[in-house]
Order: sequence, then C-alpha cells, then structure tokens
Amino acid sequence: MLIPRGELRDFALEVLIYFSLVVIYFFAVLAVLEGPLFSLFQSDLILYSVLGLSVLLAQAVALEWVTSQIIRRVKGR
Amino acid sequence: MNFPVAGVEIPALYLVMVGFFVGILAGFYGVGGGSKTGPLMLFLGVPPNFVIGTDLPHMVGKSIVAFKRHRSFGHVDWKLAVLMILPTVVGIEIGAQVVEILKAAGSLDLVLSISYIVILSAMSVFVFWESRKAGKLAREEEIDAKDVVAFQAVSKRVKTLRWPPMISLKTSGIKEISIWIIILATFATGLITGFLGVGGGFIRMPVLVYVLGIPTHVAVGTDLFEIIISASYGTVTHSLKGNVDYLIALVMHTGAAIGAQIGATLTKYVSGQRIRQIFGLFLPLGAILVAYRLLTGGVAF
Repeated sequence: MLIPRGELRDFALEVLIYFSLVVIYFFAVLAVLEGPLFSLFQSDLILYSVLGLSVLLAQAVALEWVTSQIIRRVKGR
Repeated sequence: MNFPVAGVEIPALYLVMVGFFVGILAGFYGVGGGSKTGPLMLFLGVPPNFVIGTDLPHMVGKSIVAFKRHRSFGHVDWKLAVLMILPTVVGIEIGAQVVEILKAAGSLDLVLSISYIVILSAMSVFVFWESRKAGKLAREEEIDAKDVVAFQAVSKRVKTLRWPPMISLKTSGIKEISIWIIILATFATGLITGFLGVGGGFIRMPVLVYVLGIPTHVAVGTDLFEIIISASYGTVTHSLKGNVDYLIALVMHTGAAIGAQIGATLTKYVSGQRIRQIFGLFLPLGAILVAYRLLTGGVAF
C-alpha cells in the first residue's frame, strides 16, 4: 500500500482542519445542547425526531463542506 | 458527560473515540459501522433500545461523508442503489416492529445480544475464509487481486435464475440479473437492519459481493448510499418510538466524520480481497464485546 507523498500531505492537512473544526464545534454547540434536547424529548417527540436528524445531517454536510472549501483555498495558493 | 434522554453518564471522549474507530471502518468497507458501534455502546452501558435507535442517526452523518468520497471515485451503481431502497425500507419497518414486541416482552436485551454474537461470528468466519482463498487464487493464477472473489458459486447460480423482469447493471459489469433477487436480498438485509439498529452494511456488503456478484469497490460505494437511506428511515421510526438519544449520536459523529474520511481514502490503495480480509478480522470484535457484557454486565462510569 503506497500513498503518493503529495496526496498524503493534502490528506493529512484535510484531517487536521477537520479535527480543529470538530473540537471548536464540540465546545460551541454540543456542550449546550443537553438541556434543550432533553426538554424537547419530553414535550414533543415528533419535533425532537425531526430536529435531531436535521441537526445531524447539517453537522455532517457542513463539516464536510467547510473542510473542502478550506482545502481548495489552501491548494489554490 | 450527561446524556439525560438515555439516562446515562459516559465520558464524551470515549464516544468520540468509538465514532472515530467505526468511522474508519465505515469509509473503508462501505459499512455504517453499526455492527461495531452497537456492541461498543452496549459495553459502555447505554440501554439496549437506545443502542438500537442511536446507532442509526450517527451512521447517517458518517455515511454521507464517506459516500461523497466514494462517489468522487466512481464507486456507485446508481441503478442498483435506487432499486434497493423500497425493499430495504419495508424490511427495516418490520424489523423495528419486532424490536417493539421484544421490548414489551422484556426479552430484547438477551435476544439482541445473542443475535449479535451469532451473526457477527458466522460472518467473520465466512468472510475471512473467502478472502484468504481469494488471495491464494490471485497469487496462484496471477489474477489481478483488485476484484478477485473465491466464493462465486452462489452469484453464478443467481445469474442463471430467469425470473422476469431481468435487468442489466452496467456499472457493476452484470449483463443480466432478475430484479426479484435484488428485492429479496435487500429485504432480508433491511429486516436485520431494523432489528439490530444497524445500517446493515456488514450484511449487505457480503450479499452484494457474494450473492449478486457486484465488484467489491462498487459494492462499498453503493452500500454507503443504501446506509444513508436505511439509517435515515430507521432513525425516524425509532425516534418516534422514543429510542434515540441524538446527543450521543452527535458526539459520536464528531469522531466518525474524521474516521470516515481516512477510511474512504484508504480504499484507493487497497485491493478488494484485502479489504474483505481485514473486514473479516474486525467482525468478531463486536461479538466478543457483547458476549463479555452478557456475562459480566459491562462497564460502569
């Protein structure tokens, strides 16, 4: 299994950016979601389901998109 | 970190690490990683009904990341992927109803644990045996190892069945196959998906390769698309039954997102036979963890 050096560098950079974003996101968003999500779970299960899945999908797409944009800019230099 | 919906307290770092580990597997094998996440969550003390429900949303996010990467490599058979959606969803719904029946009867924990142990052990033995044999075949007959499959008896037989309508799958290199075979195979995997609360990739991926005869790399990418659909549907149905803790899913996904990127990129450099061989080695890990929890009660934080 041989990974070309250039690709390995780009990939490591991408993972590093991803990791940094995830750490910021974790402390800025997830840490404060505990209370609101629990209240919603107890009061309205349908809204809890829709909102929960939406946040998760948004999290997946946004993290991927932001990383791709940053990578494109870094590579474009 | 406190997770009040599931009523458990688990260090967030543990969940991020679980996500990271299964994220690599998801990207690499095209499986959602539920067959590992489920046992690991049970091991960490998450109640069984929340294990089933919470596994699914975290899988959706992770699979989107891995799928986008595979799509860019051309590893997706769209025709097959679309055909698989309906039977998968029907199977999931029936599986989820079985969970409700077992939950009401109070036997969900035992049945779920034993099912994991049996399915994972059997899959592991078969996949590992086949991939070793395929490796030997590739060396002896000097065949390109990229997509050599040693166990082709079933897929060859399946292709001789003439149950109309017959369709062709160009991306997968299949000239003719009965649509009913695809429907039956994906319904069965959907049923297991709904019952175990997994994306079904660890069953669907071998079914695609060994039963339908899809090349491994295409099976990986196509399976990821199916996981997004099946896990999204499974999430909604389990969530409405109060079986999902989204906070656990969100925390696990932060690690899984990075892992999925790494795993998907690695498939560019590893042969299909090697992918299956390593896959076979990882499967018993889940079975061991579930057996340990069943015997000892797991860990407490």
